[in-house]
Amino acid sequence: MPKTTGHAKNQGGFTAVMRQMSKNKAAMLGLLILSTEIILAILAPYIIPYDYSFMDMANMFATPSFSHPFGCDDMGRDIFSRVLFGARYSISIGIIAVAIGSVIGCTIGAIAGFFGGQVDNLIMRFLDIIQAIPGMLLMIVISAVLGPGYFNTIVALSIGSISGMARMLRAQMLKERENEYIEAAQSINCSKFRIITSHLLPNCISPMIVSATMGVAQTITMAAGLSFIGLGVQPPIPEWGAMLSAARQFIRQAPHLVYFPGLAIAVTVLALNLLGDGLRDALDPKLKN
Amino acid sequence: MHQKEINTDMPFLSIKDLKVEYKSDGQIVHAVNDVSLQLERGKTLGLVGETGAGKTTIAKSILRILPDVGSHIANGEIYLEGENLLKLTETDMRKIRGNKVSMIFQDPMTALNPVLRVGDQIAEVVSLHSDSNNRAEHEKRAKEMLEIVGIPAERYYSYPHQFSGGMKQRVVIAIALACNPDLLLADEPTTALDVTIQAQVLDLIAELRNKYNTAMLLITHDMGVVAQVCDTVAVIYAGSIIEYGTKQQIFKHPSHPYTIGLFGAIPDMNEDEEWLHPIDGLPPDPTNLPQGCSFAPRCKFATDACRMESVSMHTTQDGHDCRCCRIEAVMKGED
Repeated sequence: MPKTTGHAKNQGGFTAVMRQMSKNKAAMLGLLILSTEIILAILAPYIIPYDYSFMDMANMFATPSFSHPFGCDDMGRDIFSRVLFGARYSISIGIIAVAIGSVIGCTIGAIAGFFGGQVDNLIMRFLDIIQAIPGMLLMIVISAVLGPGYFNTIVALSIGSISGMARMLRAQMLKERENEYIEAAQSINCSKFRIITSHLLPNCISPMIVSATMGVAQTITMAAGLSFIGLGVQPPIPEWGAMLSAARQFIRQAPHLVYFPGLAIAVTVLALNLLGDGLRDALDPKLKN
Repeated sequence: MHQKEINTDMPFLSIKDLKVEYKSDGQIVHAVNDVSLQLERGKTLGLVGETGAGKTTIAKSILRILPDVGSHIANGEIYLEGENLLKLTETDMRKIRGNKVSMIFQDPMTALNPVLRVGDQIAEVVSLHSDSNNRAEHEKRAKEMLEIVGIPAERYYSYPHQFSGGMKQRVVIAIALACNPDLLLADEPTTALDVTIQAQVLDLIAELRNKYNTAMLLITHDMGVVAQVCDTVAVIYAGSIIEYGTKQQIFKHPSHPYTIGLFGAIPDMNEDEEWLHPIDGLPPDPTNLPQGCSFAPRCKFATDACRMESVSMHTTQDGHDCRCCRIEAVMKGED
């Protein structure tokens, strides 16, 4: 590896983090798996050998072979095609839900953390109430109210992740706003909005990135869970949780129906967690320089 | 329309009977008590006092950046060019902060935002007070400021953690001076630096001050710094000014027992001294100030009269102000 000349180069945050992370093999593996999955998911319509809903009754419960690498399910649909196409749903649900949850959570957390006092009290007590309901239960309730479907699942999952994010950003804000540079920012006439967005948030963002990455992993399992109990994305859409749910009645006769979607979830979650761990190390200010 | 009370006869900066209180656990902390002072354009006033005496609070009151929760200015007026800053609306105040009045913070290690480039932090204050939205222009001004404080312009793109303490303080100074303020509030600008850097920074501040004819309020607890930089000196104890005069008056004829004690605590370089001579005791609890003179509990000249009622400013023989009712006795050195 070429020796980088310390401060002559002043890379932006992103390059610095990538350089730090490239030293961490596990994180790079996670990133590799995840980016492969995302690319495959985007290209899925062009590379899947069969249509994901094409039923070939002759091949019902077919075990893995050259023509059907992951075998076929109870209706003779190609599991390889379904898992590949399902990545589009599972991964996008995870990412979009966490993105929505983070944006709303960060806004609420920033307001609570910056203004403190009564505003903080009001917001945090409300979030306490939401957090008192077990996460899965809350999502089941919201999904049940909204009804099943792709977008409703995203809404349910994002509402579930708001309070955690808000709480975390608030704690960061409380810590950062005591610093003298915030006072300095006030003294040069920054508005409150500017102090929050361009001084406080950049300082609070690292743990949020880590927790969002881990959050995607958790949300994917949650989404699979919702689909499994029939509230999430509905068949024939090949969401991984829905596939597991449909396959569970055949688990004894044709276990490969469960293996592949289950493996897909496990690998994705593992990759995200490895990446999140790596990000945490790379973003830790104590390790900088 | 906002009515501006402008009086051109007044000195450049004039603080009258400023009283600031903090509320903490239901108790009232009397941080600043009836402080009055004046400062002319191009001059430097040194605020001297120990930690917790209320020096920084005075500076923050001028900029009106005291914390929203728990602090309030109970009384007083602060006139800048005849305009009462405490009566300005937040919108009018904004034109003053960072532009007409700016502040150098005590600890350069924490006064810079760790995740922003130093150049961008200088450019920020420029852009906040400029009518144009031309980023390149602001960047140019920021680079110019870096050069002025002795940092190569290429370092614009560095982050604070790549700078040494002295360089960070230079950046803080560059931020404070970027808009050519008329009044500079320097809150212990050299306390966090070692002595050689301290001298450089003081020279730099003095040079820039002379160049732009900036008035400066220098907060410090270092008498050496005062001797080097200031024109007038105000000694603060427990939130009140106890002695106020020109540098020569204070250094040649310290009159208040506290000031005398401060000078007495400085070891003499020419003598073989085994022990330092501190002032016995501690400053009073600001939530519960003594009824009379706040220095009375530690003062060897104190009489019952000192402890009973508050002391007003007296004029000493050479014409400066001293808040002590026993000046004559103190001057003669009687107990």
